[in-house]
Amino acid sequence: MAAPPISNTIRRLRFDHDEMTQQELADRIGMTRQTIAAIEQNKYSPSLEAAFRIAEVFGVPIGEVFQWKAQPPKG
Amino acid sequence: MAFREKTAWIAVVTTLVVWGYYFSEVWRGVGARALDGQALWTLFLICMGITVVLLLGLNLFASRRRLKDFGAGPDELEKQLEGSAARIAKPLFEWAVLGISAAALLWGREFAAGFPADPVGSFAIVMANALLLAAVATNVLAEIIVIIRFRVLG
Repeated sequence: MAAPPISNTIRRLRFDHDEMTQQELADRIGMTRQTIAAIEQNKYSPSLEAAFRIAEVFGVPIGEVFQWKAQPPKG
Repeated sequence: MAFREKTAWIAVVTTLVVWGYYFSEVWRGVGARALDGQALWTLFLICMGITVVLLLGLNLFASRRRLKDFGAGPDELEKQLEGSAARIAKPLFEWAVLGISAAALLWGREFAAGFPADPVGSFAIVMANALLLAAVATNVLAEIIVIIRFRVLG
């Protein structure tokens, strides 16, 4: 399965927030550590609600956490 | 390993061991043309009890480091994985039920005739166990799909 065309800065944001662990972030948004790891590694695109929750934890706009990677037009 | 993946492994191994033994006993009875309904019912209850105890005990053991994982609801990724497993397992179960029903209609009488001591009772026991086998097998399949999906995620 192709990775979604979305990148994220969760790892850096965690580091910037007192080296927050994946488990701490997971606990704060009601997810498992494995789901946070999958989001971080771009293997899973979270729901809009989860994305907003993550941004809320770090106190930044959602666009600072997730970025859309524009695809070159086909053909 | 995610707790949900651990529970899937526990369910698969427990089911294969406990219910594998149960269905081997049913198969043995069918092969010997001697199904003891009372003995199978007792064995079924024992297997059910062992399954519940094993599932509870092993899941508690698996959550010993984070007890709040025990009984916690699935998060959105886990729901998605369970949904994809159910999309395969549920229709398979429905087809299996249809297949068992069709087989019973087509070959039921011939099959029952193979159990002269108690044709109706034996046929009912085999039908009930065939449906149980379909349910158990498709549930194991669903858990295996969950495990594979977790493995793919890494």
